[in-house]
Amino acid sequence: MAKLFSKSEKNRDRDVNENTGRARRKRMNRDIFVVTIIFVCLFLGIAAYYIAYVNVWSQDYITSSYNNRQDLMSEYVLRGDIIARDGTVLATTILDGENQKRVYNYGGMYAQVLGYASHGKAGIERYYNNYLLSSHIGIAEQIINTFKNDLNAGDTVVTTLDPTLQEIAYTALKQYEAGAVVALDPNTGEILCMVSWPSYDTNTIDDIWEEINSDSESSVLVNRATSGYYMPGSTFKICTALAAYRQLGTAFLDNYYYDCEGAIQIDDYVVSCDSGAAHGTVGLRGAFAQSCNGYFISLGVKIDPDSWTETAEDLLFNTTIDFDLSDASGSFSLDSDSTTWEAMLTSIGHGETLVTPLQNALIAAAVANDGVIMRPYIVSKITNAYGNKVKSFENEVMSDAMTQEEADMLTELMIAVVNEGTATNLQSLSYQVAGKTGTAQRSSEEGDSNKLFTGFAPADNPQIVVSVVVEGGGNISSSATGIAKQIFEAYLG
Amino acid sequence: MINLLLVYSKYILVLFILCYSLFTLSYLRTKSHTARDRVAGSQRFFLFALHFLGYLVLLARTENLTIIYLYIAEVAFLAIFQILWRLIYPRSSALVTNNICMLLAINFIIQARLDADSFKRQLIMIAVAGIVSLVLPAFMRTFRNITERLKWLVGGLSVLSLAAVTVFGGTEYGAKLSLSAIGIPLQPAEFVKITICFFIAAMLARDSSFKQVAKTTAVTAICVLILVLNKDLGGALIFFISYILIIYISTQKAFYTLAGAGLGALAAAAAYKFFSHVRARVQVWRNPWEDPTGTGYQVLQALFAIGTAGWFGMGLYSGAAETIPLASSDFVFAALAEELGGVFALCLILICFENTVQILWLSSSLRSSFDKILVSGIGIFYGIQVFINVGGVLKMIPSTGVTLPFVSSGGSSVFASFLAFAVIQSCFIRSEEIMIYDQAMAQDLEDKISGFYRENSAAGKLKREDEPAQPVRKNNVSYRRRGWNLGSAPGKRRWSTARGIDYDSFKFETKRGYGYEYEDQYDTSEEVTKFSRRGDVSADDVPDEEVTRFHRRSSGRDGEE
Repeated sequence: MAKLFSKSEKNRDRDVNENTGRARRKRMNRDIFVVTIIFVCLFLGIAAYYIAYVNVWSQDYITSSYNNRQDLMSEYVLRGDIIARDGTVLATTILDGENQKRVYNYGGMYAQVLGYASHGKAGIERYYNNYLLSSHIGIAEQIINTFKNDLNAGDTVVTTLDPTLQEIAYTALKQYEAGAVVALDPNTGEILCMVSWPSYDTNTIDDIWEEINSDSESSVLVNRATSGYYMPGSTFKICTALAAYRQLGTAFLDNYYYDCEGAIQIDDYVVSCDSGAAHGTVGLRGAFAQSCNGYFISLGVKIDPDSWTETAEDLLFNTTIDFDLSDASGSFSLDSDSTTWEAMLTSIGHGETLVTPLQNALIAAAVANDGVIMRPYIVSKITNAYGNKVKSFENEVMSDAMTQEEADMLTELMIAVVNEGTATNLQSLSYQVAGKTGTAQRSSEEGDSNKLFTGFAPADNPQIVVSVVVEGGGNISSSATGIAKQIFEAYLG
Repeated sequence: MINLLLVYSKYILVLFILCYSLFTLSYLRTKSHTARDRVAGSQRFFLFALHFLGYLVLLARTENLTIIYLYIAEVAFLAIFQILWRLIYPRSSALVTNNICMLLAINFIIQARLDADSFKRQLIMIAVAGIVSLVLPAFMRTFRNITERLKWLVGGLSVLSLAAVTVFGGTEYGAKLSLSAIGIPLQPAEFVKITICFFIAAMLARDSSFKQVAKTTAVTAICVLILVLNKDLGGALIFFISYILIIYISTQKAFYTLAGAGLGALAAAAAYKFFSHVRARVQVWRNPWEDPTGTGYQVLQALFAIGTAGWFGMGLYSGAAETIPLASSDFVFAALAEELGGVFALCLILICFENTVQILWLSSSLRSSFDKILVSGIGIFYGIQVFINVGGVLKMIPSTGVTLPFVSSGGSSVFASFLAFAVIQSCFIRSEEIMIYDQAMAQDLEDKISGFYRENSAAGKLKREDEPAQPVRKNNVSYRRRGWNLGSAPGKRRWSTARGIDYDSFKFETKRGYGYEYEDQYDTSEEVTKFSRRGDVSADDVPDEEVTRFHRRSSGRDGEE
């Protein structure tokens, strides 16, 4: 065979220059094939990534509150329901011909928690908007709906709210000028009720929007439970006691007594106890139970401002709370430059110190749950319109506020408040309640003050934390503890 | 009626592009030229149907007369472009032309959707580029010769034009990209992608010694450095990755590529450390949520758009595509995915993938090393650019701001894409011409051998039973395409019919792949071996000049002539 082409220049070519001959071109073809395979992999990678993104990962993006695009889906999706933990429908959408109408079954009771879906959105309607406007009904049904020009039913947002507690809290708060109630389960972080008063009927929001939006006096749109800043008053003594315990130690506190004569004077500054009552010689337990300002002020001026700040930050002051509806938390401002007067006021939860009702609940939750704060949450899961689970939210630890030892110490103090101190009306319950009351002066006028309570029950096995703020409840005795009692009764019997 | 159109049009648009893509696959599978012509025809139907429906929706939504004018102008352009290419270059690849027109049709729809008024100027640019691309193949040989002789001029001009941007360029979105000449913004990087391929091909076609590779690498490295200085990170990345792949093909040494990739990783780490704009891009990629309304805004908007739209999209004008920053250029993929859906986007990726692979396959069928490096280089640049664009939009890799060729707006990008397309087509045409010539030569030789056989049989030198039952050419020379044909060539059929050969049933097997290396046929084909071993005949009996002529052709030295 070789003979046939023996005269050819082929072999000579090949030998003369391997590099420019056919052999090289063949090697090149092999390498082009390798590069082709590389591109096959790259493009398959892109396609696989795209498919995975659209089917799986995109959920995290679509449901973000930064995604305004989901609103475009209202053309195809009937906004889903918001329901309570027992299935009670709180908000739903009805079709009125072509128009969707949002209906809130309980008027003002859930107004600030649920928020509104028009006028810029707020509350659960805002933060879970993208879930409400997603539909996870069957593909077949979705296609049929498209052809029938029907809307797909949006997903249902299942909240952790307990309608019974919500109603009790709402009814009780209604008697007062303003206020907020938060109840949560310290073991999981589930919000059991969240009420803010004064309120408005969300069904009528289109008619009253102008009025309530411009009204800065009563601020009905503000969710006082999460975004209302209040002076903590004596409820802050939990923080003062903890800071003293940490810095001064048990040995010091056990032997530290203060002789209360109804008022305390340091330099030129005078602070009196509530109603000027003289508590006599008190130790930590007695002073906490009776809420003796003199004791805590004399203690407070001994605490190093920096370590106190650290303790306050453990109790969520000056930080953000990882909560869906609002990340607001109170403020604590005391440093080495602060004056004695500021330190005195701070010791008893006045001055620059501010707290939100939710934060107060979380402080009690930390004490109740051996120092661990569970992340508060208000939506437990998302289901499709037929109740099949789409996504659920798990319990998570938010932070470690204190050690178990410290929690036990504070529990003991808070039990004393109920058994022998300022919250004795909670004593009649069949289980032990632990809590702390507070009164925060709103103005120099006598009795113009807010009443606060934060506490939990049962003390040995905490199931529920209740935090109450009653604005202007100063003259009504046990206004805050009274509401807390009703909630404990309803929840624990 | 209009309501119905708006609701269902998005599904039909998806259906059209799906059919188009499936026809592309069947085009690749079928070998018969008549079938390929049919498939290309069907593709054209879906391409124009998609364009028509898209514009119908745009018109129904906007009720703007400009849409009608745009539609007429675009259809005229697409039709004329298709017809002229087929008339002037009958051997050009119909599939490549169709794919380009499909990408353009998608471009037309989404650009008119985003901003119909500013799109008018863009359309004029596309038309001019289309016409230039038609003329280019005629000058291809001249370009090649010039480049081969004056390779340093080409390399030098490439570097200089990039450097000119550093000195005179205007800054857009933090990067220096363009020169403004007589009021027309020009992005040299887009054109340098092509000229650098010419340069590399000229440098390494004949000599791939270390010295030569070092010189070529130096020039390319300077280009990459200038691009980094200009803050054109996307451009730098494309140049770098493409170059290390091209160097692999040109030198056949994986070592260069691996070493290059290693050095590149080091350089990237250094760039991350020293350039804040590099760090910024990587940070946005790692966590766009850090600043969702600032640095992360663009990527997040794109991801919201793609995720919210799902598989079938929001429908044209039903999404919010205009809110994605740079929706018409760098992020056009996100805009398309939002309004036309995920299936559409995947089909678009498939078309881009096909283009890349076809260009690479074409390069493997080319005879000359210069053409091979040039065409595979352009293919690699194209593929990498698509990957970096789409990957960046999807947040698969950091977003670096590059265009999607033929789909993104941007004069320079579209113009350079057309030029690259013309280079590819002219190489394809050339390869088809050579193939047809080779077949003719092979046929001549077969006739010769067969005639020789007959004569000798008649003369009694060969025994009767030795004669094959079938004519020699049918048995001996089976023509099988190992490589991948890029398109129909009416010329081929014309030629074969004239010679009385049924082209489609004419099989020709090559042992070592594409390249029509006939020597190999004869090496292995049993009949010829048997024939030549008869003893009483020898190869010397075959007229010398025929063998030499044939062999000269088929040995296919570089330079082709």
